[in-house]
Amino acid sequence: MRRPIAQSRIVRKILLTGARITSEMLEEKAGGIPGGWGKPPTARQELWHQALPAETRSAAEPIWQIDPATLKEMFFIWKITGVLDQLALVDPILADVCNQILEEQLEEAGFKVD
Amino acid sequence: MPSQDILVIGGGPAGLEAARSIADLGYRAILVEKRDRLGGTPDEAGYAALTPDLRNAEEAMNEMIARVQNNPNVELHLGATVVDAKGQAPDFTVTIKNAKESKQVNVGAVIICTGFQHFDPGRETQKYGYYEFPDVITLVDCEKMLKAHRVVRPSTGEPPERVCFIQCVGSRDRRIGNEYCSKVCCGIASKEAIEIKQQLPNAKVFIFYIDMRMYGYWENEIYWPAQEKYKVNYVKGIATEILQRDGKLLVRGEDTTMRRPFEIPMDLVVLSVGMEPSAGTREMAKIFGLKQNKYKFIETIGGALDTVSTTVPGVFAAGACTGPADLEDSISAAGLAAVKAISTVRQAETVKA
Amino acid sequence: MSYVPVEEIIKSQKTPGFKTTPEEAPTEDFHDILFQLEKEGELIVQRVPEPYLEVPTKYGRKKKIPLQKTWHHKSCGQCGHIPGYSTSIFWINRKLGFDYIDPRDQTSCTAWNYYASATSNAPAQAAVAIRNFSSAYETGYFPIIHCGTSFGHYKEVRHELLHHHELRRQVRDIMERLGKKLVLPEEIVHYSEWVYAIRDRIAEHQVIDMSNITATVHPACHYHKLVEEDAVYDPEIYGAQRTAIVTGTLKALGINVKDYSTWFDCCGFGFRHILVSRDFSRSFAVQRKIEVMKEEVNPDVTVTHDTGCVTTLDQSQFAARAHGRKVGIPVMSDSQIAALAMGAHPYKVLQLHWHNTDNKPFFEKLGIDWKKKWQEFEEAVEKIKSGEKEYLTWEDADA
Repeated sequence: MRRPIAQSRIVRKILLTGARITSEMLEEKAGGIPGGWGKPPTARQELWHQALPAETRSAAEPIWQIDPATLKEMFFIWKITGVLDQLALVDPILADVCNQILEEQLEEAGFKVD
Repeated sequence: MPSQDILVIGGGPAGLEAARSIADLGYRAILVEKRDRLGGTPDEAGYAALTPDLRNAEEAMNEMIARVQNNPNVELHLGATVVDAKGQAPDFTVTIKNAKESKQVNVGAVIICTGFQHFDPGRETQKYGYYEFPDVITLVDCEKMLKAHRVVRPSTGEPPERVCFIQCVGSRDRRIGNEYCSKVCCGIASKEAIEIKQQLPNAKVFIFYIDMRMYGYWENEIYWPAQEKYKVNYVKGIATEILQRDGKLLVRGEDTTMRRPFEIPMDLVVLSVGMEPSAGTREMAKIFGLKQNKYKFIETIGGALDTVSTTVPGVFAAGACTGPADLEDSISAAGLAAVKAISTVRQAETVKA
Repeated sequence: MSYVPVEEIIKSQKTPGFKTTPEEAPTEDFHDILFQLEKEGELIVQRVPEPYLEVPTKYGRKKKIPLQKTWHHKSCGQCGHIPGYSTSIFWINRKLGFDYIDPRDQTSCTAWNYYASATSNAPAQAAVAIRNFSSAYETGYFPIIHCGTSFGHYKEVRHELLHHHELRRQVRDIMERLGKKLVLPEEIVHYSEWVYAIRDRIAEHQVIDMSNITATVHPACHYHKLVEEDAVYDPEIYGAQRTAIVTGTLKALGINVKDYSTWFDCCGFGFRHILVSRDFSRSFAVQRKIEVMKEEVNPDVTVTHDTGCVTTLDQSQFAARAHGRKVGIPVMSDSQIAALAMGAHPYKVLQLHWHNTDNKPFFEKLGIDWKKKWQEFEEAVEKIKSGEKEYLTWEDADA
């Protein structure tokens, strides 16, 4: 069963890290890649994220900044177009978790999903 | 005013046959050809031999031309094109223009024989490097070499030791929009492979194909002799790219019989380019208001039982302007178009009487 | 039989090269449908802001590329892998005095999820795309896409929307509930097309001579193999026989671009492969790309223009290196190379410390003192660590 691994990686990341698929490649815990810089520089990565001149840098997170409202708009699209129903067909547990997060967030934002 | 003259546009095999048939049946043909000489693509591209009978192309075309050139029933306009058409059968007014002047003629029916053009392999981007590598040539280039008895690698001028043909370049290809089979390339490639072996008996010749489409008697006339007598190697599988390495061409692809990829060094690669409507065909369709199919060939409306009538009554189309066609098809359709055009002007005459 | 110089005849026939003619294009011009639907009130078309530049595309049509007033649709794979890819784009904009927006009102295109897991559907993908386009439209800035995947995917979404009334209706309904409109831009523009279009301007601002550099180019599959008709093909580059993107930019910078036999192959990323069969990706990147480049060209750098390609080619070399194989080609995006040529800082702007393959020999060949530059970056990081500064600013980046 390889498919759920693939989709759980992506769906979980998009949901939980702010609509971004982010890198874990340099992190030790992800079996990271010790590149030209010797040991995985996990500890320094937080600082490196702040050492970015782009305005949408996100301190301490390997993501670009995104407006919470924007994120909820995307959740709304996923919810009403049945993306999570499709997810439930291959990974019901993950779909449950995602649904719960989505519903809370959408309710908070005042979206009607029906 | 209704006319009994018939306009034939295009002086290739189909146009020559249509004009000759009209003249033989006692009517007058006005033949317009944009080049300064007759003979069409076989002459322009310098074909060595005709498919499938390997008859000398120049000699065969000269015979066809001779029947038309000094024929009192054929009015010739060389170096001229049709630039405008008005009216309807049997009363068309057509403007013919040459370098010096424009002239209007009155005709009762029209036969379009403007043919095809060879697919430009530059459109198969990223695959075969026709414009990149001197030793990648087309079937047409190969005909020129065969005619001159100088099959050589353009990069060195030396005869090749290993030659391959790649089939379906510009045909049966959804990606570039040409889903159709060009019908003749399998036969022509096999014919050229035989001729190469006749001229260079020590060369190794390969043909990479999707499937070999050898219609009717071509199977016995070309396909089996190529394999049995001339030892041409047929490899099922399409070549996907050509690279240059160590002064040779490296042909990559997949052998679908053996189910494995191949990389074979070659000295000369011949792309079996297919047929597309010529610029003249597209232009005439516009001038006469004829429906074209999605590939811009002129559409004939009679299905299997009438291969020459178009969407405009009194305007007929014959040969490769209606779709990929071999010589046999083109000549047959030209005769039929001549008969139908004559029938159109005769009926008009009968009604008038 | 008289001698005929057939080889000369054939060569001279080829000399003028291939001519692209829009009339012979095998595909429709999507603009015709786009503007017709606009006329019918089905959608809004956001025009490319003037003054724009024009670049030639595969079938000889022209594509409008905005110079500035651009809205930067960033890639969701860049932030944690190669953020310098985006910062370099912004830096070039700033250096040339161009107005742009780096928006927060932008989501992932979610195409990676769609392609790799199939847990999405046409209305969802189209609605995510249009939500982003609509957000750009609201700002009055024109979208420019950083990611090859998003670029290719959005063009597929455009095709679906232009041909399916029902899909347009579904997306319009969703947008209405979000208080947005169904907006499509007049052109879907990849950032590398912008870099390509302004390559001469970039070259005018070049401060680092790169004429001793040899590079190979990897054109991204999702750039030139998906909806290929509006990818840049230029008769001046490869005779329009393959995409001119990246190569044209490098040539303008005086870099010696060399060919290698597997240029058409994927970088190894392959969508599903990088997720479910990463070893395959790594092997492919090394064996089909990096080792071939090394053996045939031995370049100083290889340059590409998509998030997945930069990361896969770069971050796949470590394992092969451990096995003593012939690897070790630094990998960068065209935006990073262009910014470097214009004098951008290799760590503060290009952010090359996120990259994996050793690029120090490359810097040494260019005469750039990487030790000094690294020290400058470390000092900037120290200031953040000590709380003296919160972030690295654009001013810091150029200090």
